[in-house]
Amino acid sequence: MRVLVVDDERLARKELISLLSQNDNIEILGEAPNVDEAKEKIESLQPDVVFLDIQMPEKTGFDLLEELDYVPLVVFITAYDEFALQAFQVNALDYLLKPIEPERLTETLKKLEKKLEELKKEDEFTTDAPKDKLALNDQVFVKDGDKCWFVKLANVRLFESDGNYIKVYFEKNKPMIHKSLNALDERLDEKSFFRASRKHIINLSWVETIEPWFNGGLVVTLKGGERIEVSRRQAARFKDLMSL
Amino acid sequence: MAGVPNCQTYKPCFDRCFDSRSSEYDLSNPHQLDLRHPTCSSGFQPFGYNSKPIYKLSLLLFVGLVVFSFYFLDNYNSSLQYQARINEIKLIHLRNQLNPHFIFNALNSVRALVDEDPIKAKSAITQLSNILRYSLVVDKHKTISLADEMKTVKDYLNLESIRFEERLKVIYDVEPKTNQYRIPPMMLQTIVENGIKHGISNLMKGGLIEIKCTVGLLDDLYIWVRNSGQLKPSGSTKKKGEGHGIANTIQRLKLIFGTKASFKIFNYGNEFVVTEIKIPKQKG
Repeated sequence: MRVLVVDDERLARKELISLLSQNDNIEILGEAPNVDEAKEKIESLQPDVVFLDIQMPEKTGFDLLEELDYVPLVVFITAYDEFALQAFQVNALDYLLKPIEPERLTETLKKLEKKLEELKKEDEFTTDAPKDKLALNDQVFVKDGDKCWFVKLANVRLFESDGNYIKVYFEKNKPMIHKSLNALDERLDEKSFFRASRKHIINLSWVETIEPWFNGGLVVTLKGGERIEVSRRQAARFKDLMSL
Repeated sequence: MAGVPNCQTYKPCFDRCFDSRSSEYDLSNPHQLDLRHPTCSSGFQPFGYNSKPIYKLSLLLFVGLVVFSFYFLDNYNSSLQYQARINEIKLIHLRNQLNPHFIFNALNSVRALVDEDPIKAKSAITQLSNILRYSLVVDKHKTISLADEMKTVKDYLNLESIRFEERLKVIYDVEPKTNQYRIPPMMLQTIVENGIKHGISNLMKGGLIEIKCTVGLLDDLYIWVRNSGQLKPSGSTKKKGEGHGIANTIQRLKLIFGTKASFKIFNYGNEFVVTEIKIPKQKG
């Protein structure tokens, strides 16, 4: 597995890299001492896994994840931070405490391997989306106050723009992310996601009913109950997509 | 040591004279009264026993006065004790615990150092032990000499320098005659720790911490700490627990030195925060 290590302390990075390299099948792609460098390296190197320190100067590990479009698997690392860990108990793949126990790290690596296998299989079965696009199996990171989630795009039924933010609808939650809908639209795989209007992107697999609307437009009802208007301009394209 | 009266010393003298508070005195029947104390009354016969009414009355008055003053003083005594106890508890609470974040980060650095620089790793372990020991022992003292506190601060900053490397610069300017001044334990340590936690560790390029200790014209001790960073306007603090360190330090100074000590923290230009503490002149 291809790994990137992010920590602001040189010695901490060194220690983790030395522990990682004692395990098989680990390729260390590089290291980054801050969020900006980490973002660059994640985008250019596309690692499978990021080992991410939460406490870093100016921007934290959470800030990094919020800035990313493509979110790899993440293992959080922290010295001691109850609050941060509480937020992530829910669905972080794993987290490690400093100083890192070698046996504990091996466990984590096993979990990661299993997860990567699963993702690989899913990829074979689902759409052959272009590599640079975000497909249903990819995940986004959302943070709302104290709560954080990694959400699989397959579970997101709707993106709704709201000022400088996007509301992400999944399960019973709709937290906001600080991104523009246009930028997100460009990254999403168009076979799975559809730009219904200036304000909305819908997940096609969540569409329940389609009704005609004024001026040649449509109204789509999602399985979550949301009713979204499809503009006249997009309606024709939408009909094409759905009939296929 | 001054400031908090030790009321334990008052209590025994009452205990000696009055056996127990639980024994009931029936004032309507003085004949039942036996003022003989089981431990100090051998052969003592209360005067007025079986004598004229005037003596009976004065006996009654005397007993009433004694009982009254006993309860009054005992009450006063226990409220003083209570106050002292409260202060004690406050002091224990206010003594800031060492930040666990620091301990685990330091240990993590040491793990990496074992390969890279074993000699440095060894001295780091000693320094960490010193700090842990100091933080355990220090609970027993209300004040400690500045020299002792400075030793811990130096160990602490050495460890943080291992962790932050070129991102942390430290300057000391400590007059030798300040050594024997007594300060609340962990006070300077907490200030320095806050400077690192809220200042230097939040700066990508790191920063500076400077400690100056001088004696003023009136023999007061002045402690001056400058660190990179800026105080956030109050109300904008996000994390829980922020700002407690400052409030605690102020309270501790007040409990120990009353109004003779002072504490100030302020932004010093756009890049630094300064903490200034005055500790009054002390005897001996």
